[in-house]
Amino acid sequence: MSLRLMSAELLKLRKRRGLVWWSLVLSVGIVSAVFAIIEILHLSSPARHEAAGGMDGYQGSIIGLSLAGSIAAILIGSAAGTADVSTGVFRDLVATGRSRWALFAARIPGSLAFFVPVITLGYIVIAACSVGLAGSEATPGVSLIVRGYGWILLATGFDLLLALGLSSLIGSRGTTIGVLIGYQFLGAPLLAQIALLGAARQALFPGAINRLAPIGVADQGAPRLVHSDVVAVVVILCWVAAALGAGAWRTATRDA
Amino acid sequence: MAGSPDGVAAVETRGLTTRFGSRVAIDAVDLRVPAATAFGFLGPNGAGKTTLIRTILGLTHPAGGSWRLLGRPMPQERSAALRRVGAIVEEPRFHPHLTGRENLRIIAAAREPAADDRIPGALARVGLTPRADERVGKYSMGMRQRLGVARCLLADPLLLILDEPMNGLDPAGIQEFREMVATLVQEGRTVFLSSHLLDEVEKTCDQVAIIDRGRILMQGQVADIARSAKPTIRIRCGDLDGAIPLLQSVPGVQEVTRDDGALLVILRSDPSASSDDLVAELNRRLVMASVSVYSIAPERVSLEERFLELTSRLEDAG
Repeated sequence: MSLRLMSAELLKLRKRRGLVWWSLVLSVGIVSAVFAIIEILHLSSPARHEAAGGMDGYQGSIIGLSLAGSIAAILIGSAAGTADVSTGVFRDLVATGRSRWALFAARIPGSLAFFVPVITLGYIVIAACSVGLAGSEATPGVSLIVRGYGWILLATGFDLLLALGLSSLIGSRGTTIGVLIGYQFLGAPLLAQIALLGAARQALFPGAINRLAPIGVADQGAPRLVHSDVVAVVVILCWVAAALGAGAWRTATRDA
Repeated sequence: MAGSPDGVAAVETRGLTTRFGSRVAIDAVDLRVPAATAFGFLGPNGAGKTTLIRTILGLTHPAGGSWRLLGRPMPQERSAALRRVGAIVEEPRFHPHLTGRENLRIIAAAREPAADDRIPGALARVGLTPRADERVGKYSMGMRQRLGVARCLLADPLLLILDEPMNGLDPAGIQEFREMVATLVQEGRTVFLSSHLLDEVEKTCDQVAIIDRGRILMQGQVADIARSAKPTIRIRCGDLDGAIPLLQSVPGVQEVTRDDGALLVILRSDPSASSDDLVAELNRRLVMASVSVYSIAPERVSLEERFLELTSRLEDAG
C-alpha cells in the first residue's frame, strides 16, 4: 500500500469543504446540539427534564450517532469512490501506469483516514457529555465507552466501505447515496418484517451490526434477527468483501 | 537529457484494431513514431485519433494487433512503459476544488517519489508558478492546458502524448507552446501531438501521420507529405476560356480549373514524366495558339490541402 497514494486520496476528501462541513454536522453537530438542548431543558426545569448525560443520554446519543454517522460515512465513501471517475482524472491516473488495483485500494485507507477522526470527534462529545452532564444519573463505565467506540467505528465504517465499493462499481455518487440510505432506513426494516424470508433475514446487514452492539448500547429491546455473533461477523465480512470486490473489479476493467 | 535507445521507435503499432460493438474505430493501424521527433497526428473529427491514443495508453482494450511504447511490448510491460510517458487525452481534467499544485501532487503520488520533486519545475516551465496555489476551478482553458502539460512533465517523459494541446491557448501561448515542444525535442524527447490545427502541426512537427475512418492514410516527413500531392501549375494568361481546352489536350494533364483569374493545371503523378518538359509543352501550346502567357509557376500545396485531399473532405471544407 502506497502511503503517497493514500495521502492523495485524503487530500481530495479533506479539501471538499461541503463534505467536511456535512460530515462534522452529522457527527459532532447533531450530538452536540441534542446534548445542548436537553441540558438547557434540564437546567430550566430539573424536575421535568432529566440531565442530558448519564446512561440514558449515552444510549440515545450513540444510536443517534450511528444513524447520522452512517449518512456521513455514505457521503464520504461515495465521494471517495467516484471522485476520480466523475472528474475524469481517473484516466490520467491510469495513464501513469500505476496498477488500477492499487488506485482502488488506496481509496480505502484514504477515506478511513478522513472519516475516523470525524466520527471519533462525535464520539468524544458523547462520552464527555454522558459523563460530564450526568448530574446524579449513573454514568457509562470506561469499558462500555471503549466497547461503544469500537461498535460505532464498526457500524459507520461498514457503511463507508459499502458506499466506497458500490460507488466505484456504478460510478454514480447520487445513486449510491440514494440506494444505501434507502436500503438502510427503509428497505432493510421492511424486509426484516417479512417472516416469509425466515433465516435469510440474517443476511440483512443492519441486523448483523446491531447484533454486535455491546450490552447497554443500541436497540437492545428489538428482536434479534441474527442468531449469533459469528453469523453477524460473517454477514458483515461478506457484505464488505462483495462491495469492495465489485468496486475493485469495476475499477480494474472500466474504460478510462 | 532524455533519450531513447538508438533505433527504438517511441510508438510502434502493428495491425492495431479497436472496436466499439460492431463499429471499427481503429482499423489495423500500422504506425511508427520515431524517437526524438515532434510527430503530428492529424485527422478530421471522428477519424479515430483519440481512440488510437487511448488504445496505445492502455485506457481501452484493443480487439487485435500489437503495439510497443518506448520499445516495450504493451500491455505486458505497461507499467514500465508508461513510467516515462506523459499524456493529455482529450481535454485535460482536474479536481476543480484542488489547486493546480495539489492536482499535480495527486498525479505525482501515482508515479515514483521523484515526481514530487518535479512539481515546482514543471509549474515553472509552463509559466504557472504564480497561479499554482489557486483552485483549478478558477483556471481558464488555456491555464488548464498548461497545467496538463505540467502534469505530463512529472514523468520526466521520453514520450509526451498531447491531444489537442493548443485548444484555448492565445496566440502568445501557442507561440510559447511551439517553442516548448521544440525544446523538448531538442532534449531528446518525443512529442506526439494530435491536433486539428494543421497550420500548427506544420509549424511544430517534423513528421506527421494522417488518419481517417480509423485508418492511417499516410505518414512521413511533413514536407514530403505536402509534396506527395499531385503537382499543380498555376498559369496566368489571356483568354482563359480558349486556354482550357488547349491545356486539357496535353498528355500528362489531369484537370484544368479556373482559380482567382488564373488556371490551375493539375498534372498526373507519373514518375516517368518530367514536369519541366510538361511545363514547357504547356507554354508552347499556349504561345502557338497566340494566348498571352503572363506567368507559369508551380503551386505550393500546403499540408492542409494535402490533408483535405487525402481525407476526401475538400468539398465539405469549401
